[in-house]
Amino acid sequence: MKCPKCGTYIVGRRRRCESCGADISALDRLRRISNRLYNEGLEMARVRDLTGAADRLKKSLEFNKENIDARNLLGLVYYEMGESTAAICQWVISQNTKEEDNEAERLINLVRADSTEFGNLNSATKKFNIALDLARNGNEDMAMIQLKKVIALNDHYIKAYLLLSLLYIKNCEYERAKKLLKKVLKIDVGNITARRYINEIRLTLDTPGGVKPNPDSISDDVGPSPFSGKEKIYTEDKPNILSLVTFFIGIAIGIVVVYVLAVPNIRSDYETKYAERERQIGADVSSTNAEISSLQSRISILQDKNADLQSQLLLADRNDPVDYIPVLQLYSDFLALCSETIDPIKEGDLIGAEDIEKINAFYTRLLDFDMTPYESEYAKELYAIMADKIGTYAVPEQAEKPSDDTAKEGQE
Amino acid sequence: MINYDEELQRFTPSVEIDDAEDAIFRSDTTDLSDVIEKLNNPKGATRQ
Repeated sequence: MKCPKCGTYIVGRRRRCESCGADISALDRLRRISNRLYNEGLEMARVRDLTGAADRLKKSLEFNKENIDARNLLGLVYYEMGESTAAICQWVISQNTKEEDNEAERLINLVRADSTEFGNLNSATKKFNIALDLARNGNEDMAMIQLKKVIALNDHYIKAYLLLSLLYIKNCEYERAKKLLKKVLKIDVGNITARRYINEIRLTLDTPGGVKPNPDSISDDVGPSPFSGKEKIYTEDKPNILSLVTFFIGIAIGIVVVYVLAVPNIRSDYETKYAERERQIGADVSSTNAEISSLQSRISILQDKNADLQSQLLLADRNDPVDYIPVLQLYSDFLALCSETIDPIKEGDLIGAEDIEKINAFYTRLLDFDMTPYESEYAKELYAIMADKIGTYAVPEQAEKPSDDTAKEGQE
Repeated sequence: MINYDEELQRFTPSVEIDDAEDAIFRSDTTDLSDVIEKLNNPKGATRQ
């Protein structure tokens, strides 16, 4: 302690200054009270009673503003409560009071070391101020959104938690408010505001037969508080068994009515459709049967025709060219003779003696040819053609008479 | 019994880092020693 008159440092408990003789008993007493308050604040800070610690430390500084330890600890308590700027202010003042060998410098450097975290803390402070303005202007929804952002940036910001829980209480979201207040009490066990809010929530929820207060009734008018505890809390009605039974009876009656009235109609409708379908099927069957019988008769007709054609085919097979090859050979010779003798003759010209001889020889051969085995119309036609043409040019008197040998050759 | 508006008024804006300098200068660091000194020396002598 320094003497207030001459500035000499006084060590220990003295009533008077050794240099100037000034009465320093009062100052000594104030110093001791400040130290005692600091000790109490320190104990409270150790058990996380931050509100109590801050109160003691502020009082300690009121008795002795040069109590560096109290000021540094107060800054630390503020920092833990989320008030980073207030903490820095205390440490700066502490540093100005005592520049050397001061913890405040180390604490300031620690806070400023992480620039991102420091930025978040500052941003949280700004958003909290905006949220407070919004809440005061009645924009509670926007205020709640801002406060949620604040808490995300600084999860130790007790004032933000308390304001948000107050808004939740106003909106009767008690569980959410309770959750936040419990978080506050974790950070600061002695926070009176949080305890007061929690007690209020408990009283509100425990009130029997209570209903939810009407938020529209809350206003700035001077009058009964909306949270006076007289409002009823809304509770859901217990399920009425009678209405449940009535409901099931109604369903049963409905089923019976449907069965009695609707089912017979549906059944008769189906029966009618079935009979119609049966009649239609019968008609189809009879028409099919008729078609079958007509097809069967046609089949028999076709079968007869087929038999006839088969017989004709058999007959036709007898006229196979293979059977009248001699006739064809004769005809082939005839064609060769014609091309040699008859065809070159022009109109008006006479036939040569040699040619007549050939023609006569062929004519004789033709007469000798036995056509009896050849019943084919085609063979007969060929023979007729040959006979007709050769007969035109042949001289019958010069033709040889048929002999037994030539008749056999013709047959072969 | 909580009155929403009264509780709301108890909340004060936090000091932002930009306003820290002003806050430090405006802070009242008068303690009881200064008060006693003023009482003893009404002419306004301050502690060294």
